[in-house]
Amino acid sequence: MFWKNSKKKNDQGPAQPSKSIADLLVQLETNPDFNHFCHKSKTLTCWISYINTVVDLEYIHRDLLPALYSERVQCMKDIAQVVPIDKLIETRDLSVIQTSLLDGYFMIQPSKRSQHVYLIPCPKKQARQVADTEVETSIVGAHDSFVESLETNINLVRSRIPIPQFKVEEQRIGKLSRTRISILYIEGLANKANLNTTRQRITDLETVSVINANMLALMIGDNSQSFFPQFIDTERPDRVSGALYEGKIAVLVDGSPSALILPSTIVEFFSTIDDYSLNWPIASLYRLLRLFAVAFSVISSSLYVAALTYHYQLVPKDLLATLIVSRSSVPYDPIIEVLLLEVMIELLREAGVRLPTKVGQTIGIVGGIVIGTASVQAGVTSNILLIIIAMSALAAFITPNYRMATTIRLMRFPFILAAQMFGLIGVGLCFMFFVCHLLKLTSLGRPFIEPIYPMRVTDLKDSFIRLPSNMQGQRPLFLRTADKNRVNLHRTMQKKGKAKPDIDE
Amino acid sequence: MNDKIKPAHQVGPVSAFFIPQVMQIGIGYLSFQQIITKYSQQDAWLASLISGALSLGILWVVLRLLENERQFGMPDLFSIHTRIFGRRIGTILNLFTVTHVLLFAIRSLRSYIEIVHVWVFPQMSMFLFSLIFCLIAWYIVSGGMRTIAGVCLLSFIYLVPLSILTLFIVPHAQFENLLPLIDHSPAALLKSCYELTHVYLGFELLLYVYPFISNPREARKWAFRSALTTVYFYTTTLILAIAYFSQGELQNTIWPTVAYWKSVRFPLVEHIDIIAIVLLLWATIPKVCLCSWIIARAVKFTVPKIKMKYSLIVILALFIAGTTMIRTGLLVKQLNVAYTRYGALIIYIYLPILLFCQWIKKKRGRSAAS
Repeated sequence: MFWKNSKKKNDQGPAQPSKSIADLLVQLETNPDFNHFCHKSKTLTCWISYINTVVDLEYIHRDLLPALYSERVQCMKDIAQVVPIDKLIETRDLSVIQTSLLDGYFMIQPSKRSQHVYLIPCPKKQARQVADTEVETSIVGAHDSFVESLETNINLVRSRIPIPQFKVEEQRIGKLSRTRISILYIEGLANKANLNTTRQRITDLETVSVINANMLALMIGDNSQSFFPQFIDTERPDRVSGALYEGKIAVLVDGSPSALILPSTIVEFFSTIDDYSLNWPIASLYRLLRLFAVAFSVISSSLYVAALTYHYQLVPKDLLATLIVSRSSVPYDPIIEVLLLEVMIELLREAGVRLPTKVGQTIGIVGGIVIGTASVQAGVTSNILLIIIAMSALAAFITPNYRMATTIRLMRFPFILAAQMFGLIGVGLCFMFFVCHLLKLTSLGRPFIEPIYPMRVTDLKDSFIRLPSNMQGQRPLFLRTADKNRVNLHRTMQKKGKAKPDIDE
Repeated sequence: MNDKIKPAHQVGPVSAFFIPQVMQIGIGYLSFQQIITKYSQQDAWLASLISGALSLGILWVVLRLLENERQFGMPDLFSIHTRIFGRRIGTILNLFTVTHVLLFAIRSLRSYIEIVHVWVFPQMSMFLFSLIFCLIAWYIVSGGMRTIAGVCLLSFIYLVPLSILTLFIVPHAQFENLLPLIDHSPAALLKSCYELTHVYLGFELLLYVYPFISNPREARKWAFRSALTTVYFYTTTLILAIAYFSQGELQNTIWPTVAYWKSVRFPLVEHIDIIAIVLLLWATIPKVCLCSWIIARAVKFTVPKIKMKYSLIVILALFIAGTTMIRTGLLVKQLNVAYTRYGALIIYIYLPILLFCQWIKKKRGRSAAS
């Protein structure tokens, strides 16, 4: 009985939708920024309403109202001909009226409580200027980044994909917020099943509000318990358009300066747009460097704990002497030493991020140099460990994606604890657990560690290494795109077949 | 149980390469040189080749059995048993073969713990280790066949560096140790072959996995390639062992492969053997996973009401209990002997007989029909 009652109560909460247009207007009239007035000219009488904080007032005063006041408007039907507008919506649907009004539409009613209304779009969008990328900076690539306005973001992508097959689908989600969400894809490339899954996951979402794209990514991800982000989020329109050309799907959320790319595989989190501006051996080397950095960052401190607690025979003789000297004044076990420094670095990082840029830099310098040196001189930590921890902190942030970088930063703690429990075997077990977790993980139902398992040798061409563009003739297999080939393979083969001249011919 | 496996749960034909391969290569790889050179000294490599050829033959028998069964429904050993011998006897035979799978899993896990006890941590808690290990196995198996096949593939990839490590001893090998060539009686060679059975065992698990592999025509080719790779792998390692150690030393080295690894040196790390033993975790996990999966399937086949996810927990608890009960190294050795006998009985005697029975059944069915 109790639960039944409480359920009913919940339903009568403030989120109750208005039953009729009169209710809606009464509800809105309490707001000081809502304008609702009777317009009387010689020929026409009507009721006008709009919310002046979301509409473009200049447009209304300069274009709409003068046209309405003119004598050429005899009845409601004349509005479409006289008023200089591209779209006039005539509706009785209350939900349409409500969302339109709140989105900055100009509403005209023949009488005060008339259900039949005319809506003219004149929204005003406050948006930041398109600015330089801040999270994923690029040296030689494009410098524009997404902003908080959906229209600007779509504009940035569309200007890079000027083809009619480029589709934008709009949906509204969030029980209260009704946030606009756009699904971007290229028709004829994007896999239909992927597209349907995306649509379905977004429409099935039960949520009150969606504030930004990363929040959406967590909600529509395959495994919400996982450490690992399953969709790439990017602030770069060029990266999004590149992914769309590959046959992927992008999701933009109104009010959020980042786009989601679905589906993603784990190696894509370690690639940047700059990889494609360098020639392939260099780009491949940088990718391998990044992967090495990740491995180093995750296991270096746990290896230190394992080697110094259990397996000192692993350390070569000469190095062992140095280690002993540096650790001789430290009063703790390696694990305490490592945890102390790791927590310190985490604190520094968090403090640096949360503070304003200038103070943040100072904190970094104070923390990094002063505390580091002081702790070694005080004999709390060994200086070799300081080097290892600092390097692994540096290595973690080589990862181009911020969410992945934080995952990698935090992944080391289970490793350190496992190393204390079982030495190297513990590190091995922990590694095995994480690898198996990745193995089970999917992104939009597609395997997350794709070029490795399921093994697709052809997809390795753009994963750990990046082969030259003449070998990138096919789109990744795992996307199951409708058009497998990027280029006309037949024609390129024919060109290759031409006899090449000998030396000095 | 459903008659057809959904394509969403099937794995590609290349898995027929990785799965038997990973099942075959394991802890036995560390110590097999000593056991088989006991009887046929420097000619042991010949025994390895013979044994490998036999394993290829048995693989043919296995694939024949499965392919003959395909027309009657699910091509796996359980269905073969119940179809040919009826429900009751079939269940007993299932129990007979699945016991070997259980033995296989416990033996793999316990031998690994033994290696860790001898080379890394003499006092590591067996219970705690096997508990953690089985928890990971549970996590993998709950992902289904696809995840297990993925673990097999990764295990293969992680074991490649180990086989490369073996190359480091080639400069120190004395290949004249192999002489005189072929100096042993066939009886001695056959004895060695029998001792080698346990390193080649494992491919017969295809009998349970086969319905989950798509594209059987390709899969069969991959299965043979896998068996050939194993033969190559063991034979080269064996030849290196004979060339690297003198016969007297080899007889007294229990783990010759670990001894190779000990001799490898890198500037940044010493004692590669410890790292290699840690890597061998990856050789053990697929065995435990696949075996528990097979036993869980067997339970479901016999009593369809019991869900695999529940029986799996009991099976893994059984593994933990089994491993912790085998306390001493001597018992591990006895377990290995029992496992070899049981395995030899199954693959060399039972499977050919089963093929024969299948043939008889087919003949009878045909004559009854006509």
